[in-house]
Amino acid sequence: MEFTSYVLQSFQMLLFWDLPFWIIAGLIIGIFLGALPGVSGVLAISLLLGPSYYLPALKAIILLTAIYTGSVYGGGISAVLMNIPGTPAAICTGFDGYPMTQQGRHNEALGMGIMSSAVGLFGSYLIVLFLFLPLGRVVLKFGPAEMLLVVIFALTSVGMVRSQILPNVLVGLFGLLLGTVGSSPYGNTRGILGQSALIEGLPLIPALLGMLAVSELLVMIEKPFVIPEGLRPKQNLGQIVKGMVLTFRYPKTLFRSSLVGLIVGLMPAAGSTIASIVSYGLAKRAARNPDDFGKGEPRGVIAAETANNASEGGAVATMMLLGIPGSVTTALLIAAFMIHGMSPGPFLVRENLDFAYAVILSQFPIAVILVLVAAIFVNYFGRVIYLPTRILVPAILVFAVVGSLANRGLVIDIFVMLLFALLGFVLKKLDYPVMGFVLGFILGKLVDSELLKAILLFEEDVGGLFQRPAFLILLAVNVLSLAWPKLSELWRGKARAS
Amino acid sequence: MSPSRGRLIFLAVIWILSLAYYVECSFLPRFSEKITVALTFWIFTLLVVVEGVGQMRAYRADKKAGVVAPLNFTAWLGDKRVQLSLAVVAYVVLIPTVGFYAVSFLSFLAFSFILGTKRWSRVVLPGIIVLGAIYVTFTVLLKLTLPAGFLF
Repeated sequence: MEFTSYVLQSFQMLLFWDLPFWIIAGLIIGIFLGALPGVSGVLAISLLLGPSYYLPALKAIILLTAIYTGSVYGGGISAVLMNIPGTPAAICTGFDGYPMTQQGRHNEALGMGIMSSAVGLFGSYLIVLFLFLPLGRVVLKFGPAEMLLVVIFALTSVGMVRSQILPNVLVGLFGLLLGTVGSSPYGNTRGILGQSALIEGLPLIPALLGMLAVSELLVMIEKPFVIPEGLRPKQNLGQIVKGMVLTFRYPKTLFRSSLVGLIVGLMPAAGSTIASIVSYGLAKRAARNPDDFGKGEPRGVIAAETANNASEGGAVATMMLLGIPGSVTTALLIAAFMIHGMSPGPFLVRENLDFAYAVILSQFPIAVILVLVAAIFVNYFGRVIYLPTRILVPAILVFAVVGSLANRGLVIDIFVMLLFALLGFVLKKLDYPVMGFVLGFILGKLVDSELLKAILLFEEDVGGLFQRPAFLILLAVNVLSLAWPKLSELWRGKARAS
Repeated sequence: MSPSRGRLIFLAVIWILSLAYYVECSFLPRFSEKITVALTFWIFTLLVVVEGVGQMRAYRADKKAGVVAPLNFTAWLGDKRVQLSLAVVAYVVLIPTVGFYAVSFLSFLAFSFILGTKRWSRVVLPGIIVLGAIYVTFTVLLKLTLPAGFLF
């Protein structure tokens, strides 16, 4: 079956009457939690991961990706209004968004943020739609040995990107060890402490809930309000719409930032934060008057918001094609695919390509509806983010417990959540990267099974591995990735010397 | 507490846990089902040693500079985060026997008081709203069975 027939078949899968309901619900939840500093869409997705098990697979993934989109956009709201980025990806949004607020142009900045996000999302998924099949054909050539190298690349590249190689790899390996707990590929149990409920491994959803959401609450309670009192600018829908229209005055910035976001998003572990930083930097470099950046330049807001949303297209494509999470959010999306009996990566491309296309196609209505929902949200519901933590934290805690119970209904899952919350809190307090641990934990089982398959396939013909072009290329990529920090240091040293 | 001391304690704890897991896995019958854990454990151990040496040096430097404060358990117990964590543990333990909704409502009030709420009137209504939302979403709409216990 070719591209057009897959797209048509996938389009038919999207023809259900309550599609707008799941998109709107996801966007509202995502925008609300994304706008809360330190909470982000990770919390929203992890809270709804368990309940989403009860929805049909496509509706569940659409709901969760709408939350993802909403949260990436929502992060920019508090960055513009209070210079407090709701998510790390919104850091650059505040550079120019907050000065615009100080100049009384906050509604314009919010409008630009909405339209840039929608354009970035739409553009990146449009490119992904046309390139997904060719990329998928390449991915299908990957065997267990190649997949193992891809997973190793994902684990190591987090450290390379964030310049924290040793702590990242260290906690990543600890995560990987915990990820292998449960039954071995031969059915023998490992590290389950006599608990039959752990035979399938440490439950993913409660572990992620504890590690990412509950541990964050312990940091959040240090302040009486998530957002300080006294910073409550008035909202105006007309001005917001004007800001949306003004966005199209900067087509070059929109196009460049969409492309940058997509490319960075495709790279495992790079994510929306890196995308917005690179895009902001490029926009500033390309500007005739770069000194205006940081003083309320609309292109700064557009570059950052377009790229961080465009990165979602790339990250979701990498996640579906290779099974590699580019960020914690996509790691949670992998978990969502898994609980619905699908394994992102070559298996998804081989067995459920129509489903993958349906997910991509569903992002276009999400981009359109985002404009409407976000405009209403920033105008009317933005004030909810001023709730005191003494109400917000207990509410999120109770939701987290429900989220842990939702999947299997076992009380042991809440204890797993608590243990991972403690671990997550300690990691954050000691400045160890939580992302590295989460990646290792999620990929642990995959490493275990792919290594076993590779051993069984090549134990009597190790030389056969080196006759596979994909293996050689990935091996070279891994070696380069590991050596890159040293190589770039040497390069810079030589350049300085000359 | 000096960050390097905290990191040293953390490294020791996770290494001991990993060692226990590695020893358990080493008794598995087939080579191929213990190779991942064995390989990961030995690379992990190597990195723990490298990181540990670095942290040990930092700890000594902190100690020389007088940055390292003695551990104060009384202050630790008075910390809001510790009180909240203990309340969460009690909450989780009570869920199966008392029932999710009853314990959740009481815990909501308790958490809120720990976090600084002074009056009952300010927390009862938010508690009812949150649990009402959970009841409608999870029990009525999603038909999820939550632990009932002897209350509700």
